[in-house]
Amino acid sequence: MLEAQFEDASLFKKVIDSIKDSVKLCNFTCSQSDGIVVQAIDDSRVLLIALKIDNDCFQDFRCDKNLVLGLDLESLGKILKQGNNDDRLTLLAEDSPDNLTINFEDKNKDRISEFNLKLMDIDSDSLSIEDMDNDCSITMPSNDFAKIVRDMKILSESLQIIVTKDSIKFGAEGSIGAGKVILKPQTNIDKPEESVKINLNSPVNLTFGAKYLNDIVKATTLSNTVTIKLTDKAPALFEYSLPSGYLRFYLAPKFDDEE
Amino acid sequence: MSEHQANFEIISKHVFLDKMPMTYKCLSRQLDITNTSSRQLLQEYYDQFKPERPELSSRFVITGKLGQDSLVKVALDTEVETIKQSFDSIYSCNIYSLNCNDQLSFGNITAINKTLKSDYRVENCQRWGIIQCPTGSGETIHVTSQDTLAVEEVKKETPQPTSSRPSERSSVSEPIKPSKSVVAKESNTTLSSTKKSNNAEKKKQQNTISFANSKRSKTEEPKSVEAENETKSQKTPVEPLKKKAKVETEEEKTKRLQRQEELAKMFEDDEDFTFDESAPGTQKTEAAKPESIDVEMEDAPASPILIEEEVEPAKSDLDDTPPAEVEAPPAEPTNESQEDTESYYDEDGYLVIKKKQAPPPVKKPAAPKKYTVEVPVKDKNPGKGVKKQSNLMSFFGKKK
Repeated sequence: MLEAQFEDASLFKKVIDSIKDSVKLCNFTCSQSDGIVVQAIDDSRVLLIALKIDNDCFQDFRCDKNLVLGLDLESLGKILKQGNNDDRLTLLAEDSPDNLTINFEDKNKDRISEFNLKLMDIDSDSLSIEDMDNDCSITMPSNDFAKIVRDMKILSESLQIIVTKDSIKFGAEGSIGAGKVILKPQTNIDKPEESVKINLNSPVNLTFGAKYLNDIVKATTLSNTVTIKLTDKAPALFEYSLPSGYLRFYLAPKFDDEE
Repeated sequence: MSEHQANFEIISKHVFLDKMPMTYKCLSRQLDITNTSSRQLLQEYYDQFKPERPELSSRFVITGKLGQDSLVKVALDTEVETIKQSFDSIYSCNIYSLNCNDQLSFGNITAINKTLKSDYRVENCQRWGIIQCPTGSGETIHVTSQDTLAVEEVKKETPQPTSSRPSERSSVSEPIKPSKSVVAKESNTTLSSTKKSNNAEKKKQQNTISFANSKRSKTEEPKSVEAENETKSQKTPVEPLKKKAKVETEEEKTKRLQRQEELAKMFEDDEDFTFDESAPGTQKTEAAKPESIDVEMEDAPASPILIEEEVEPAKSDLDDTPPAEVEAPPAEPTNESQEDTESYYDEDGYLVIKKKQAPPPVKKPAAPKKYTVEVPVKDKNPGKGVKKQSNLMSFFGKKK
């Protein structure tokens, strides 16, 4: 039996809102050791989502038996909207569940809302994602990154990221014109989340699809910072940290035809 | 005294001294002239002497279309306009008779026709507009349609006198006369061609279709479609009058519809082809403005006087233009065509538009370039070519 209780529903709501536009159906793997783990890839197989909500994220977490819950994220999102952000959220499932029970408990009022969501059998393959050596790693405010992505998407369908030792250059060129944003590393001692850090092994120049980046930055609400790990001719990793766990996006880059 | 005056004297004597009505048939026989001429003569007499002699009265035969029916009405001169308005359309309006008494019934007027001599020789029939029909006695008659019906050939094997019996109807007959019931109605009477008279003589007359003949009388009038239909129907001489009248109506209807369609097409062409509306005298002025003419003429593809030359090079020029230029404002190609065309009138008066084959660098004017929008190039990056989206599956393997 699964019984996972969030102190606030807001975290789970944000997580689902962050990924439901990228993937529609996905399996939630629940285990006592790892908490809830999700790996899903979008239909075009360009963006991969890796979610890990550790036990510590929950007020109470109990999973007697490893479970795989096939969920329709769109339906789950609709149900989650029924609860307030500060409601206590409990996910309940039997050992061989047909439904996922979602309870909202208002802390201030004696009100409990209970919803049942039908589970689905989703046939999906898990991809083995090994830890890669990165050419560079960038940590920057998630809001800034979201703004850059949204601004550049207006100009072009592609966003170029060029990282050198002393700057990060985001550039886009389209039919109406071109634009670029250059960030330089900085450290804010008072507000460390606003610092821009670059760990560079070798300069990189990669281009990504703007629409996928636009989906990624929907997770901005989950974390104040985003960590971007880039490797030449390899998928980029965009990671948003959870209180305990992470939400990672692996995005395949764009290449020139001759490459 | 001229012949005209002499004829007027005859009419005056007949009408005012003898107090007899004078029909156009009567006058035609008396003066040995055609029905058309006799009607003309009567009309002239009426126009000339009506102001002097108010007692002079006339009857008019008006044919026209009312709804689906073709009607013939006889009206007093004072009622002609009223009767005309009651028709949907008027085929003809001819004078029928003159008399000096307004109250004279129509039956009495038509009775004068009975006194006519019946010397129906071929030349007389031709002059008087009488239609000859074959009888069962083996006569062969060919009738052609001219202004007056011409009987080309009449071969009589048994030259018998005309008989009043239907089986032995005369091959030569007079124009139809109205039945008694119609006569009783006097002026506003509708003459139905299907009505049969009890009188044997009238039966003989009904056998002819000269009633239709009365419609195609005036020489000033252009040949109407109805007259042609009448002539066509007269070519089937063996059919009784009732059937002929029916055939005439159907033919008239179809002909009129065709004519209306043709007219409608002509008007449609006129709308498109605005050049036609201008007076011929203005052609020089328009020739001085070839650009405006070009635009109008290009809008009228069916215009018969438009001669375009060297069209093929212009098409190939269009094909060469990149797709982005297609999105340019619509005024651009018009200006371009105006600049590249030259128009003049040839010897036959046709407007000739010549398209100059402009050299390739000249065909792109500088001004419209501002409005051309390039097709957005996907994945265009600074200093790079088109990028292709890669797939994650080529980086990550499936877990076993």
